[in-house]
Amino acid sequence: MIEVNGVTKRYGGTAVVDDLSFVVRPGIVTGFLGPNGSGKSTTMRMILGLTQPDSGTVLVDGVPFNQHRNPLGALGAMIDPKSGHPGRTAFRHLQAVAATARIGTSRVREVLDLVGLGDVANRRIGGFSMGMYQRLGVATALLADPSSLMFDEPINGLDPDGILWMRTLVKRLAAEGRAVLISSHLMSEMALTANHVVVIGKGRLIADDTVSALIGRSRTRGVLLRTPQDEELGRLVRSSGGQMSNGPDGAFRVDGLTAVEVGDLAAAHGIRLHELVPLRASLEEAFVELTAQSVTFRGRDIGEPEQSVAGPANNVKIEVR
Amino acid sequence: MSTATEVDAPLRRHVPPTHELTFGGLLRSELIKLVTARSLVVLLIMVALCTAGLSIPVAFFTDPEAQQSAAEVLPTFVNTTLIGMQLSIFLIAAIGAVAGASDFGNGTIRLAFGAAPRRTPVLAAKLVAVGGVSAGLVAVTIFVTAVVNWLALTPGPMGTPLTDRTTILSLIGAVVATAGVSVSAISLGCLLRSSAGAIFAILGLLIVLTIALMTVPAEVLPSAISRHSLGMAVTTLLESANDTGRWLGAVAALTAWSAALAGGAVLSMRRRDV
Repeated sequence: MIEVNGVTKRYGGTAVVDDLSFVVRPGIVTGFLGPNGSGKSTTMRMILGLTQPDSGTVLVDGVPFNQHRNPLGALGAMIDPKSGHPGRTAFRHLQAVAATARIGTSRVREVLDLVGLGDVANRRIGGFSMGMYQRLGVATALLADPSSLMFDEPINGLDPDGILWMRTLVKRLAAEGRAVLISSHLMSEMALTANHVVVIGKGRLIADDTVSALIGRSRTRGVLLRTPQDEELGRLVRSSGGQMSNGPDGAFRVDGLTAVEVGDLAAAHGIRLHELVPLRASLEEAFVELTAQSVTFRGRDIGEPEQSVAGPANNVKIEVR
Repeated sequence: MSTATEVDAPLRRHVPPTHELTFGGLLRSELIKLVTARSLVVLLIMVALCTAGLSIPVAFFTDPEAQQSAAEVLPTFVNTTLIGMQLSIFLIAAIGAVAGASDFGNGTIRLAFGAAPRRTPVLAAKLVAVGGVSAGLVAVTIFVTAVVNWLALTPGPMGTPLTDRTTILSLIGAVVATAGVSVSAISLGCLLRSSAGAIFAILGLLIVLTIALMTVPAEVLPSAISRHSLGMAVTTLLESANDTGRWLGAVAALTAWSAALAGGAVLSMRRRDV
């Protein structure tokens, strides 16, 4: 279990992490979300003791990390997957870490096989791809079979097969009773992997909740429907305080009313409905709503691409004479 | 601030296998890192080649004066045996600087601190491993060089150099100089976190500072101070130890320099983020 209690870190007078508290519990995957520059990596570094907090405490299994007799067994971490001498082989790289806790070479081979690097164990890591570095980082974290795990952006550079493997591995590790903290920018992946999420923005805690509760709190809701009497229903929806707009594939989207309200409204006026689906916000929509005021780096609004009536611009007309 | 919501987590908790962080384990880790870094291994081989390769040919081409006894050959024996160390000591400095700084450059230090979060033992293990290997290599190379040189210089009994205090101190001095320079260079590497910066710094201390201090008139700066610069202490230990007092002073000065730089490295490692 990882406990972060009122941790603050300032650089040049600016609080990068500001009075942050949360708990990573065993048995579940906790997603760690936040916009770029929100302080996620700094927080993870403070948990691992690489960065000293200005105030606050971090406990791993109830003890400050630097007081563990078996630090590798308390917390396995992948913070910077490209750590390592490029001229060293994957096996030697892991062996050097394993030696500190007197972990045998059989375990080194075991974790290399587990992450799929068994066949390249004797290759220099300088020639590894990003995905291979990620796998090596995971192997390093798993060396001492720790009770808590922390992965910073573990699926960066992984191919679809690797992402699926990582998702399964992380879930399995949590199911074995470990506390797992995982940061990622890929919300769709987090929605599939994490049970619980901690959202931070500008170094402060924004949300600490289950994924379903977080999505449930989102204002982004609506109803998708199909009806042959769209003009009539549109007037009724507007008069009831809602809005109806065109949806995908000839469907319509209603905002501002629930599916029950739309269904009752249609039934009361004898309007036929062929489909009525309540829309749920995605984790991504919930995240964007939550962090709207906390984005540090924002690109210029470039709007949606305009849809050409004639089709994509690169269509080529072939004239047959 | 926290808005924690309780989550139904299984009661099962993973208990990790029993492993323990030990200094012996850290030492082994540093040795693995040293022998698997090709640049450092190449430099270590060059140390052995320079130490023996410059000394032995000189001994073979030295023409001892006729009728010299074995005891009379000893000063020539010491000088020829230590000739290669004049260059090797700079290679030792480079090895230490690179070994100290490279872990910071390639991120290995984050893995080391993740495994040993108290940090100071990591530096201690690095000093013992790199300094020990360097000093051990120089000791073995000097011993082999000394045997070959003795056979080349005189038909006298092999035990003669062992009976001469000056000879023994001179040869030991080279090993002490190696250990001191190595510790200083590793510490500078950890302080500056840059291989190039650390190499320039240790060479600056060994050469530039020494020359600069020597140019200052004795009325401005007492000669005792310039005598105890890092470079002068090392130079003294790589010469024949005719003056035991001066030799002991050089050992003390080198120890003080090494301890000061190592102390700075400890403070830096404990306080600075990585």
